[in-house]
Amino acid sequence: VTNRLSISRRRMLIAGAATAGFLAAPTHYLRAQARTRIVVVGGGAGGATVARYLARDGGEQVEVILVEPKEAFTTCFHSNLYLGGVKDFDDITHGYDRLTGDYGVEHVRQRAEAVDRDAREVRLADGQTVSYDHLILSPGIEVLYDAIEGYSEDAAQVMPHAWIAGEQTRILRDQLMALEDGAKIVMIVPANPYRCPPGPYERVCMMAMALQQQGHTSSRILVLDQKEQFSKQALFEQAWERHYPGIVEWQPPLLHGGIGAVDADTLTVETDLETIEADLVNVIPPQLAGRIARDAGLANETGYCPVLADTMRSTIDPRVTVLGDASIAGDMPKSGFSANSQAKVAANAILAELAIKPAFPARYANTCWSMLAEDDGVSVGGVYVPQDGRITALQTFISQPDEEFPVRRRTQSENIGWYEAIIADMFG
Amino acid sequence: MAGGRESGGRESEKKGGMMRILFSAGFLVGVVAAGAATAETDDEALAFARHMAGECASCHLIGVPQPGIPPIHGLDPARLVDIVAQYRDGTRQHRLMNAIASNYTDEEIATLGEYLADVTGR
Repeated sequence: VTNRLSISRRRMLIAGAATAGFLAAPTHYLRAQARTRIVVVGGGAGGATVARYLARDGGEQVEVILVEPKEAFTTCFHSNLYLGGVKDFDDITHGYDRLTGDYGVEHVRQRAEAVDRDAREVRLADGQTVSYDHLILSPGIEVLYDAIEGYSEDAAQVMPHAWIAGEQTRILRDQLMALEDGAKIVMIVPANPYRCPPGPYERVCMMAMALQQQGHTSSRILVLDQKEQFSKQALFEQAWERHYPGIVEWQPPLLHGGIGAVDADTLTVETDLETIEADLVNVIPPQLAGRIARDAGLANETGYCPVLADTMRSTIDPRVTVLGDASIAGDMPKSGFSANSQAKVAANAILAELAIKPAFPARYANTCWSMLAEDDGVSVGGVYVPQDGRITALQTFISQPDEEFPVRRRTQSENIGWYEAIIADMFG
Repeated sequence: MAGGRESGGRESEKKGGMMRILFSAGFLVGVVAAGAATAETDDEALAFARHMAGECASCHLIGVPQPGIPPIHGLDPARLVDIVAQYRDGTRQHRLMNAIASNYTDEEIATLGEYLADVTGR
């Protein structure tokens, strides 16, 4: 099975005569015609993986178009390790050249603006349209700037969220490195659900580690949480005590009384009880499914997209699959690993419907590793299957506070090794 | 798995391995009993093995060395089958692998062992 493509397959079939001809022909949903066009919106863990598996296993019968404005993708996972100085920015940034060169995925470097589900078209930022036989939306999250008074896209240049990796992540790292000893960092953390449940607390560890390495002895990190408990709480609280004593203070709503306005000009955060002056403010706002999925009417009242548990197909439109953070995936958390796992189930379901591959039973997995300190890592995860129409945890597991040091060191080594594997699984 | 390792001749080599699966694991027993393993069923066994290996590929770099996570490619099939069976029955401890393996049937483990044994190099 070769994935090298003829010139004709690699042509850009956007707008123009080719598309007009395609649309003029009678089409039937995912029938095994000469070329079934599958358009993937979003080139992250869900989108890149599903594009690769569809192109790899679909052969000449499928045409895979990946709509993603970025030339290279910076992963949210391990972006905290960049903040901690464990990884370089280049280590967490990956191009699409293998997907296009080795697998024949067509990378359209445009932002997808809207979906017309009746016309079966995706409208791009430059006004052109791409038609599809099947659409896969893996748009990730939209950060809700308006949810916090005083916060905005502009304010995020000063008070970065860094919850969509890229320039935001660099801003936060640069601000962190510019701090003098004695600095006060405030982090605002949202209520559930949100992308990467343990992520904020790993970030606290990595920021504290970076400050220690910079020689800080009196800088402090105050976490203003919008929920009363959080993922791997016992493990993180133990790590803060063990590795970063006196540096981290975590406050649930019971203690701070609620988050008020933030002010990017004065670097202040209001709670119900006080106004806090800070030297660095990391605002992680509430989130919803990527706007394109919501605007297309594919989300329900939760702001996320319901999907069928055995295929990741939208319950609202059978011609659309929704992957990753934008989907409501039952017991699975919103993580890159989850999106990668869902993508492989979705690819099999689509290729099975096209009679290109047999249909295999859906099985999902997830693991979220968190780095606590050098040679100290923990993980939480599970194996999931469809049950009564819902993706349901069959087994779950979590690291334990009383684990010996070698176990933690091994878990952290796994964390580093896992990254290499999932990147190869996503991008080839 | 990158395209380079899966293209061209190696796929044809794999088919030999998949024939072994048909016999050794009793996969698609009826076909084997009839002594008429067709190209179609051979393809199906290969597709299933690749699908399973896809589940592994979230964590394991298949075909190339990897830090921190043990290789699952290029092992003697019987050895991989033993290891996965031990994860399944809990005699070998790893939280994620215990959870993953608990889902696998004997046939699936054998299929995976045969398939991954043949994957070498990038």
